[in-house]
Amino acid sequence: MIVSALPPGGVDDRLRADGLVIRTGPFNFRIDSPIRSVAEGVALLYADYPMADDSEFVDFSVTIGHGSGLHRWFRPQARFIYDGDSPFEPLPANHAHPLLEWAMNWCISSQAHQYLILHAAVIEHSGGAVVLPAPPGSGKSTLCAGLIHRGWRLMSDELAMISLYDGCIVPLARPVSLKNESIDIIRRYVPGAVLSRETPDTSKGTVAHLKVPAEQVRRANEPAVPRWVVFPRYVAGAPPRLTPRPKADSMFELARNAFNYSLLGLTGFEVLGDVITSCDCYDFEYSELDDAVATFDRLATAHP
Amino acid sequence: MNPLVQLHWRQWEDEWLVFERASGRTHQMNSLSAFVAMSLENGESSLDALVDQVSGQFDLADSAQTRIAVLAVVRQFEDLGLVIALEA
Repeated sequence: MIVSALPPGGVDDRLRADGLVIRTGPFNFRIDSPIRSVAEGVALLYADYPMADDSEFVDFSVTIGHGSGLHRWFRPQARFIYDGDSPFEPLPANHAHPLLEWAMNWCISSQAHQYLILHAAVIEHSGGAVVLPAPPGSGKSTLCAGLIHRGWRLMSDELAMISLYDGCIVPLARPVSLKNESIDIIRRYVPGAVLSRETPDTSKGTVAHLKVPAEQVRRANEPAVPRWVVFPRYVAGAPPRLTPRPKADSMFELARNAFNYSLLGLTGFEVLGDVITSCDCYDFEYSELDDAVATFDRLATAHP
Repeated sequence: MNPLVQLHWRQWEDEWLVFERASGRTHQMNSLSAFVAMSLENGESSLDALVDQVSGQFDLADSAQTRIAVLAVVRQFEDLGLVIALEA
């Protein structure tokens, strides 16, 4: 049963009662929250995600609660609560839904060490995955959001999860986080795109989350073999330019941006080394999404 | 080579990455650094012998410049704790 099958108000009821357990990729998240904007965000963005039944194991239990003490009413806040602790500082109450998304990312990146987890977006075409590592502001989420509406499948917009067992990339397929100008860029590029309410004044600026196409959510249990590593960089007005990048340098940069490479030690080194060996590595400079789509499509068809 | 050091290698053409198990650090190396590290790993402990091996491997005629280059690499390895001391 998927979330949208709940009756009107059903998401809010569940979040306030025993919690709503949603499956995203390999993880079951139980979400609790008395905050209406969280329920609205979940009902909108997770409408197509399966709900786990009562017999299934819950990997992470996430509560987005009201602020404590005076901050329940005065300058109201939202808090992320996990295992009785608050790993983050409280945020303004109107940041409650983005806080849920960040909390879910934190749960995975801090604990799912059965995967090597890179700070990267991942998209897939014809069974081959492109890993898109990039620091914040490089445009990777905008690029990701555009490509998944032009024939590419979303695997993740933030966390590339590489199986330690077979080196495949495991999808999460969670809503894509967009910031500032990229929100309007995607609204124009994808007419009819479903976006959450915009949340201004966050630490990342104004954020909104893009709903993942339903057919891609349905494929969130299909891993993919990594075939390309592409380091994107948005440069205003720049023509598209894809240039080969040395493998050792690429691996070094991926390791630097991994959440748990150091924790995994030699295993992380060997798994990442295998990924780099099997991938073609590039730098990619672009300014127009259509240019990016054409470049990535050529990549996929030239090296299936 | 520091007896506590265990190196794990990855090579792509003339690029190397090496993982040092005890410290958990990953190092990026060029051909010269990698060759010196492998020679030390194989038990070479004499700087003179190392210079000779490098000269032969890379077909270098200028032994003085080769010695300077090798010494620079060895000093770097000492700073990283990979090498304790070499015989002159």
